[in-house]
Amino acid sequence: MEVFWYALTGLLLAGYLALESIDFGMGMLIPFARSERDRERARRALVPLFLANEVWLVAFAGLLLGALPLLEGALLTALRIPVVLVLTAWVLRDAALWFRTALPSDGWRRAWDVVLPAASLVLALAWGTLLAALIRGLSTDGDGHAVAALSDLVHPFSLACAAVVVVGALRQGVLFAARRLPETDPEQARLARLADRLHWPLVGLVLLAAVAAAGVTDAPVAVTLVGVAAALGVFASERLRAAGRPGAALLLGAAPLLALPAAIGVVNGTTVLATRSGTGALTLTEAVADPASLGLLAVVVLPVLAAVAYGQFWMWRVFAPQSPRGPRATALTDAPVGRG
Amino acid sequence: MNTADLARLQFAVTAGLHFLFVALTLGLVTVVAVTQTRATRARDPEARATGMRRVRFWGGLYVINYALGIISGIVQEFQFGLNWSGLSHVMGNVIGAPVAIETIVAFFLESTFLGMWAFGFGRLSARAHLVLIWLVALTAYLSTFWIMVVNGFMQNPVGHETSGGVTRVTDWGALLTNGATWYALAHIAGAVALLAGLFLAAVSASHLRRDHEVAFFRPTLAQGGILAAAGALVTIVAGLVHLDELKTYQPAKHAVVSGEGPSPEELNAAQTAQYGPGDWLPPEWVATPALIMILIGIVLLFVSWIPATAARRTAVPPSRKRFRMWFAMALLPFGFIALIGGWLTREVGRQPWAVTGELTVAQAVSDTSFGAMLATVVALTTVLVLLVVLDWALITHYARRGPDAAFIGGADLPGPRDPSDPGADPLDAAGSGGADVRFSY
Ligand code: HDD
Ligand code: HEM
Ligand code: HEM
Repeated sequence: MEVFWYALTGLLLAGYLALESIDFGMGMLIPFARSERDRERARRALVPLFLANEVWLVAFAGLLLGALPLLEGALLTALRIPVVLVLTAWVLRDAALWFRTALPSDGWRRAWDVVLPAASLVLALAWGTLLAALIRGLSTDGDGHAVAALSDLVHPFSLACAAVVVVGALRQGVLFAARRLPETDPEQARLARLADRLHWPLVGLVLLAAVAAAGVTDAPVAVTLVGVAAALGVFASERLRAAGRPGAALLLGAAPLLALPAAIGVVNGTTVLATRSGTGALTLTEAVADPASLGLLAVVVLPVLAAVAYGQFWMWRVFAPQSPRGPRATALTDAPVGRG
Repeated sequence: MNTADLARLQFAVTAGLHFLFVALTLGLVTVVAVTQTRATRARDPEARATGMRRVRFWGGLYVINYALGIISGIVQEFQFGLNWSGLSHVMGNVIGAPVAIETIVAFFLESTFLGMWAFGFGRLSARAHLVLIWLVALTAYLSTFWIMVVNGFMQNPVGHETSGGVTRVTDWGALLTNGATWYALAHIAGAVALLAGLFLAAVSASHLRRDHEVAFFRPTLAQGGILAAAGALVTIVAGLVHLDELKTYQPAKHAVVSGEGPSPEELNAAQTAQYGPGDWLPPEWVATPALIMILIGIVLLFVSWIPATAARRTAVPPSRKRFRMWFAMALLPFGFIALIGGWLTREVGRQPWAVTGELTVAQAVSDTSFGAMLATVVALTTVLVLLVVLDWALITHYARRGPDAAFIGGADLPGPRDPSDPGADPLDAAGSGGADVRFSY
């Protein structure tokens, strides 16, 4: 039962990373858009979906507090630097998406066009280092508490993982953008080139991170396998993209982002907060809430999660249809334009 | 200033800002839902169109306001782990589940519904769209309930036992029926209606004053004034009951707020006997925000309906009823001031406890260096305050521009749209994919 709650919590984090990496990527692509029309087009593609994507992290934090209360306090306190970075960047990124066109002023729009990619980049970087620190195990401070020291965050392994998240998110953004454009759109060729250029570097980075992980953790075989699986995912994703199946490509393209939280579990097992020295570590049995709380959670939260899954599925179907292929997509994209 | 003071300051700022926005959210969503119900049920197409135009205007302001509710809520949620890990250490089994439910119900479910509603104009059947706004309202109140279960427990801890430094719930029923939760909920329900009423009246008056969209804003001026007065009545009744009830579980707070009951020395002596030597009383100054709140409540009960009288269809246009128009706008800030006064009373009046009689604030704060805490506070507070200012400026901007510039507009909206509004730009349909190009956001 304990493992179920830990896995569910991890699943919410993985879902967040997979979905929001698209938003990070689209955000980072804004400076590459050539015209106001393309920038606004990109933003509008995200707006109906980003809330539904980011809530996975809110739910993750909520469930962490509910199911693993000790872990939430210890984890966030230990990871203060990246967590505060994530929070500030997150809040600014959201503001950019909500407010960009709220005022009809060029200066206003240009300002948000700086905030959006910058915040998206910081988010991707901070997530990469944060997850890497958790895979590798944290340091222990003078009082015997787990802490992510600055040296943990700029460790070569952390930098490799940060690069994986940035490039992986960029590629997802490119795939998402391409999937929504008609095949005849002039942007398609550019996006295809970009996806093509990102593909091998991403495979390389994933493998590099896997090798580095094998060197810094106690489970070299298992992390290498996770890394190789992620690299294969990227490779297959590129194949699917080239074969004109952007939806499936997007799905498999999330592999590197899912590999990071998976690696935490694979490497550390039920040590939910691992330190390299062992001092200050926290095990699942210590961290989990008592059965009465878990019972209440099971009754209220599980049905809600099912309802949300359905709602989010609906959102994707309606707001992220693949452009002109298939009758449904055509009907939707033929919606009245402008003042109609 | 020590680490705990910093963490308190940060919590007070974030929670205060969060509440200012979510209180308006709670009030407005109810107004929008009722308006949409009336519009949907109207037989006459003209009445229906006008009704939906109102939904778009007030709904647009609601959505802008909602943005800050989300942004500040996110910061709130992460503060527990960042700054108050002592709380989850001792109380995790108690507060964890309700907070988890709040965030999952509120954020996950509510924002999914809200997204479906905001982008569902013209995409969903009128009935499904109406159901959605009611679901948004319902989940907003549900989330309020769950978070107030936590806050009520912190005021008046019931239904639990502590052994070996760990607290467990023994009786969820007691937690869910805690008086400290329910009195506050009734009081808050009144306060958010009051606030929504003041907001409706103030925005309507700002247009009527300029003879702008008279037919559109005349009814909402009347509705606002009446809603405000009714809200004030509920708030006051619930507040007086609540105040009296405090005697039983927070006598020190009651004494400071009401100025009645045992003297401070007696109260502290009683607590010293229980918890050991120390200063167990809340700061004296809590009496001031409490007094301000109560005075504002009483004054509003008697005057907040006055602007509504200007909505009567007489030969004199509302713009000539200068005083009442100005008065409607002048009242709005007082609603917000009372709101913050109330929370100061409740939360500061609980000091020095984080959980009354169980856990002090000093024990609840995270074990972090002063520098790290300071950096956290400065970074988060700066960003949040900046966004609050921007968001409020946007609300004012859209409220001033009136229904034609609705933030969530539609092609079937009567009247001209601002050509500078990029929402009116004919982007190509396929390129913008499913994102509805008719929305300006
Ligand atoms: C789940 C619990 C919870 C909830 C729902 C709220 N608070 Fe709170 N509040 C706390 C839990 C808490 C806390 C974490 O326990 C603090 C930090 C220090 C303390 O004594 O309590 C606190 C402190 C605190 C303070 C500072 C008091 C002081 O340090 O002297 C203020 C002004 C507020 N809060 C205001 C609010 C507002 C405006 C809320 C409504 C949105 C609110 N609180 C909801
Ligand atoms: C410390 C306590 C609190 C935490 C951690 C918290 C957390 C959150 C979070 C994460 C959100 C974003 C989810 C969403 O927008 O749907 C949110 C929104 C909301 N919160 Fe809170 N909240 C707290 C206190 C309160 C209180 C006291 C109330 C009301 C009495 C409240 C009412 C709401 C409402 C109505 C929303 C949704 C509307 C909006 O976003 O504007 N919250 N909260
Ligand atoms: C005669 C009028 C009023 C009385 C007697 C009254 C009484 C009280 C009392 C005793 C508390 C503290 C409860 C506690 O510490 O547990 C409180 C809290 C509060 N008040 Fe009032 N109040 C009045 C008017 C208002 C008005 C007009 C507003 C806002 C528009 C308001 C908003 C609040 C809020 C938001 C809280 C904190 C939440 C809660 O404890 O319910 N109050 N009020």
